[in-house]
Amino acid sequence: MSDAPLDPHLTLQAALDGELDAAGQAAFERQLAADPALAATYARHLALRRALQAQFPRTSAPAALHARLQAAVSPTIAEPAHAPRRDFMKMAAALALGIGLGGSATYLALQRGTPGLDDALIANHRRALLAGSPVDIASNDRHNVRPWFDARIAISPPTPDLAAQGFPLLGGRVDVVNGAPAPVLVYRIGAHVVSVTALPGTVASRPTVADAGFHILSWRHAGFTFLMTTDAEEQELVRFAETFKAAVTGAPAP
Amino acid sequence: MRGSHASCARLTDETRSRLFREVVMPHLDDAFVFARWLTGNPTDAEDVVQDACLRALNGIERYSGGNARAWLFSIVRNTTFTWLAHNRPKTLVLTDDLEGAARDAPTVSESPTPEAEMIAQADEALLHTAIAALPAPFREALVMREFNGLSYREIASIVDIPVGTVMSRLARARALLIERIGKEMS
Repeated sequence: MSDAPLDPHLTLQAALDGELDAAGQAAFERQLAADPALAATYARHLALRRALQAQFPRTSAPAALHARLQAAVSPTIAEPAHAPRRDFMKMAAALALGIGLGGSATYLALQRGTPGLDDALIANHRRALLAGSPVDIASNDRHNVRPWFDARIAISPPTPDLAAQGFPLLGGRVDVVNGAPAPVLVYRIGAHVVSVTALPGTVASRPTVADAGFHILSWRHAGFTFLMTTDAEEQELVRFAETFKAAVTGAPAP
Repeated sequence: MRGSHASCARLTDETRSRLFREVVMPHLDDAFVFARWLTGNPTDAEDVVQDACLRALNGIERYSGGNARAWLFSIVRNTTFTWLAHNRPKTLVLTDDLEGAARDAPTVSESPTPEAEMIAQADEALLHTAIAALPAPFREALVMREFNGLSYREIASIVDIPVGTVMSRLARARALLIERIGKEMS
């Protein structure tokens, strides 16, 4: 825009909107200093900008719209092509793990459970990883995270402090699962992140899912079903799950 | 949503869903804000955005990378025009008449203009009325810039006009708002 001098009022728009390069901005500032009428116009534009921002704070799309669109792309019926695969080696491995864990409410088997739910959990986790920050509220203090959930969706799941055991709390976010908002606790596992989705009530008995590098492990306790989704190694997830359970139930950490 | 199988034979449902979640869903709030100003109310905006998002899902293979928000905004904008033509045919304004005005009168009018302090005190109702009264092409440019934080280039690509026209429309929109505030508050 340096070929022909621009109308000062158009330059003013560009300055206001941060669209001038450094040289253009400097030139405009010289103009402002030399021209009181232009300076007054610029002040009016700044005042308008401030008034618009003060009177119309940023709003979100309605939760119902969000949920409807999520539902529109969450397959609820398993496609025949993806019928449960039965791989007995994997089953045996999972069974051994299950015995190792010993928790009566822990179901382990490397077979696909509820495809719609698994896909939704993995998609939510992936999107959170892609979004720059995996949390809506970043806090390592569980006393911040629980009230935040309570205020937003009136559900506040147990939020244990696992920092001492090597799993610092990163914060929380709200995902839409099965068409309803659900609280998600986010912890760090080494270089990875685990999303703990707490669904009120019990979800049908679920095996551990391994899908394209993601693992989901479920645990039922105190009226919640905790679905732990991560891109970390399965052993790491199991170790996290044991620590999480011990902290929530008050049992000594493993 | 399953109506256009012929055109989307190459992508599996799973891929389409994943793309939709990654390309469309992150910009849902922005799309809603935009549609609310274009339609004038949240109820209609919800309908329009839902319709637009389903169109986006159907045409997700036409998203060729690049600016996802601008892509979605183009769809929301077209959906809004279709919706307005159908539901409120009288609100559509032809842009042709406005280009002359935008080009000839980018400057603030000579009538007494309000002081910055007065503008800063304009309340929501006044601003809302003033924005709603703007001719549609000026209003959409202002909304995308002020409420969606889009750059001139993004606005230019969404509306399919030169960047210079984006600037003159913004200049005109702001001048009209300032004039109106002056008139209402003095």
